[in-house]
Amino acid sequence: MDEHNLPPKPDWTISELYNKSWKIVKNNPVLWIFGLAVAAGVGLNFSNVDRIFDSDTKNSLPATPSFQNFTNGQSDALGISATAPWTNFLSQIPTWIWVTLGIELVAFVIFALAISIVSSAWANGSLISGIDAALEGKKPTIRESSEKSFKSIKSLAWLTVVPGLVLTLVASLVLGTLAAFTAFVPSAVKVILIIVIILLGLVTYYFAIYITLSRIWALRMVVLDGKGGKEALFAGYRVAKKKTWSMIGLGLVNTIASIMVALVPIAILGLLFFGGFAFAKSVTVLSTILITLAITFGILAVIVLMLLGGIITSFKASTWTIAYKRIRNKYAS
Amino acid sequence: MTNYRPAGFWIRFLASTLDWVILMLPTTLLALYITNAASLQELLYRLIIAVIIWWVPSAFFTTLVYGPWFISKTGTTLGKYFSGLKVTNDEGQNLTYKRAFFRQNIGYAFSGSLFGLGFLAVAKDPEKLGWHDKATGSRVVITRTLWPLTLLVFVILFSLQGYFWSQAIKQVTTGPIIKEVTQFFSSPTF
Repeated sequence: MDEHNLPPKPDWTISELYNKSWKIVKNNPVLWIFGLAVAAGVGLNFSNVDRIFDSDTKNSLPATPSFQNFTNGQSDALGISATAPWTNFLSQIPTWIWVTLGIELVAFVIFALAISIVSSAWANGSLISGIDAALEGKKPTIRESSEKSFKSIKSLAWLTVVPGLVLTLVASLVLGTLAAFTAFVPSAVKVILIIVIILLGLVTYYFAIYITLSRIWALRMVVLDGKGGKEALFAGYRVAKKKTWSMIGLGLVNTIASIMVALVPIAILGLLFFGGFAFAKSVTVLSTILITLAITFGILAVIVLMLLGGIITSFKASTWTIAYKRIRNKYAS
Repeated sequence: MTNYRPAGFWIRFLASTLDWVILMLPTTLLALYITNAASLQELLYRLIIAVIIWWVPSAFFTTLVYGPWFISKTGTTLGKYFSGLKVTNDEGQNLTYKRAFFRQNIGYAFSGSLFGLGFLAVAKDPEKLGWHDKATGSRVVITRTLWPLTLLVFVILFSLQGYFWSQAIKQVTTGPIIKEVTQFFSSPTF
């Protein structure tokens, strides 16, 4: 067979990536810890911002405000609902308190978000540095991986926030404006507008996918090659355009593999609980044993799943890092 | 670099616990203020005031000032000061504010991520370094042997706060508020 007619050799095969990643992750528990930090990542609790009440009361706050106490008997006699005293109470609180509370909570949420972004950036950078060290035959350490990550934190944080934010803002503005226009135009134009909105929605989705794909390479370009965030993102996009289907394939396999691994303890737990409740009426002793085992296993499962989360995250990061190092000189320079 | 001894797990644990007790003091005093209300509505009002003047600002104070700023300027927090400990870099100098901020916030979260293993690592590590120390290039050293003072301060503050909390609980359970709550829940309209 003529060699020129053979299909080009792929830059990577999934089995190759998986074998190598498994060796690296298995022998370097430090990577699990960074993987755990990445997996813990951006977990935000957005506090509810209290509504600003309109109040007729004066703005200055008395030292001990006297609230009218509505007894429940009075409420019943007047036919007022039980919530009336509370509505009255809330309206007596001066507006500046609600405004201050609102500002503080918003500031707190933004502050927590900023810390979360920096933390996520550092964890990602440290994980990639650690994997790189392991690939070069060195033993990754927390200290060295962390120091390398510190140098790239600004660019990594930029990558985490800016591309997605810009896309969201632009898409919301454009699509929102067009959607608003549909209320004011004739039916024929409305149909055209709706088609345009759908098409723009698909364009947005296209960019969202490519931002995700580009970011995978960009993170590695920042940490391993010292590129800036913006430069890495555009370079990552160029690589992602050439390797789209390979990336989607690897991403899908990674996702399915992670789900299958994580499902094992969950399935065992589910079976134990199911068995326990199924036998509850007929074989009480067996039911009790199964439920006790399920509770014990459940507690262990929490620990196991946490650790698995770290291992799976570091494993996936490792596959991408090995893939990057394969294509680095070919596409990414 | 001055040759101070690295601080082990227990003295660091004691210093951190003392820090926690010190930071809890305003919360304890506010709890007394809140539970001294004459009615449920006044209690809620005082609770809102407490959130505004301390609980939300304290989150900023703790994350920006108490740990990071004090450690970058003096190498220590109040708890560590009373324990004779100091946080330094590898050259024995104070950390920069950025490093101290990272250590006290993200570093601590990192050490605590796997059931506190990063903190327990101090006990096993030959240089007595936790994960947050390794991540930021910091170390905690003993500058003076003060653990009896630490224990004394801890016991005094802990007992004082325990007393205040018991008073706060007593105010709620024996005052007019519990009667109002019981009346509210036992009313036919509820």
